[in-house]
Amino acid sequence: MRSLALFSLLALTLSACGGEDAAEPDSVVDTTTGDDDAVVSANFFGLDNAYARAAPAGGTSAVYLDLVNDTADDVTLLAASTDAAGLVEIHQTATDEGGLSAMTPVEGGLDVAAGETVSLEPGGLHIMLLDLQRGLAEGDTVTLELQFEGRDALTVQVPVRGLDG
Amino acid sequence: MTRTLLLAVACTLAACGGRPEHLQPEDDLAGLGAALVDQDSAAFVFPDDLAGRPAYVTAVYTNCPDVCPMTMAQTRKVREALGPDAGRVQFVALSFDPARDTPSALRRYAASWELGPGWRLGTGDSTTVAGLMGRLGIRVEESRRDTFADGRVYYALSHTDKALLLDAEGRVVETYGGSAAPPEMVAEDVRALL
Repeated sequence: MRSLALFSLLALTLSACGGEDAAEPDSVVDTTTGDDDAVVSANFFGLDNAYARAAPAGGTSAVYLDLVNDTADDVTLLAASTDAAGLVEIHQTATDEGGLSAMTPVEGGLDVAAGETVSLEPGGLHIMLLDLQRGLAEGDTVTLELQFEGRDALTVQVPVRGLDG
Repeated sequence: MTRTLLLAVACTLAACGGRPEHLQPEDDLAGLGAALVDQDSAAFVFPDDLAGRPAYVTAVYTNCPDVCPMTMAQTRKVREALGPDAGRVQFVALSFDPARDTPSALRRYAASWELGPGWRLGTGDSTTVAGLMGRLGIRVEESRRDTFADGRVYYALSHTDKALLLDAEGRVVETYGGSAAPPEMVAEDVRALL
């Protein structure tokens, strides 16, 4: 499953970068091996397991995903944008010793160290979509662009799941 | 020897009212009498009108994008874990954002979560809700406020992530992390109250 997601992402990335005129991709995907864990070569940077939570128009939602960095370089996610929301921010939810859960913007970008995967998941890091311009229902998709420091942006189609993800 | 052990167990259960030790009443909410309305605009008094059946009580706000949906999802899983016993339990989600969470907003929220019978979403006037949250040990703080280009105002709330289990007499017998309460464990506690 992961190989399919990553392959789709690569296709989307190439498309977003202008097809043949795009810069050389950082990854090579071989779908012929049949081994999900082997199909993605080293030097890949991309996303996996992305989804958004359903929410009504005017409300708030969150996008969760894995940032996979199999390259030799650290990567920093600076920002995200989508026409589905009036405002998009990278957030961290944390719960203190007293049980108070608070969301705070991630200042200065989100670092993904070389060789590491950073998971954005419920109750932790997430991309928050504020002031939704339309309702998000299960089965919809959200076009999300992610901007990185010193790298091409990635544009992905994020599927919308039900309220309980 | 066996008889002695049985007697000891019987005495312990009698002392605890037949409940496990960890489900003894911790906080009697009698006298709280919070006047609320539910998603159908029906008035009810918390916890008085819950008396007679155990209640699993959470606190949420419908504009919450991350933690509250987890709490709602966990509560649904508790209900599923209870199976046929779920009908003997009340599920209550109290809003701590009365300005936005009107009864109609709660009704939409209930519909979007496909909540069936046995669920009550509560809201009230700001003074009552603030007093209720304080009494239940749920802190609520405004964490940000934005004004969009068209003048609309958005704010987010930091809040305690907490769920409470009330017995049929309206007494708190256990508390959990609302978004992380293990459904099977909660269901086991609830069954001990039935």
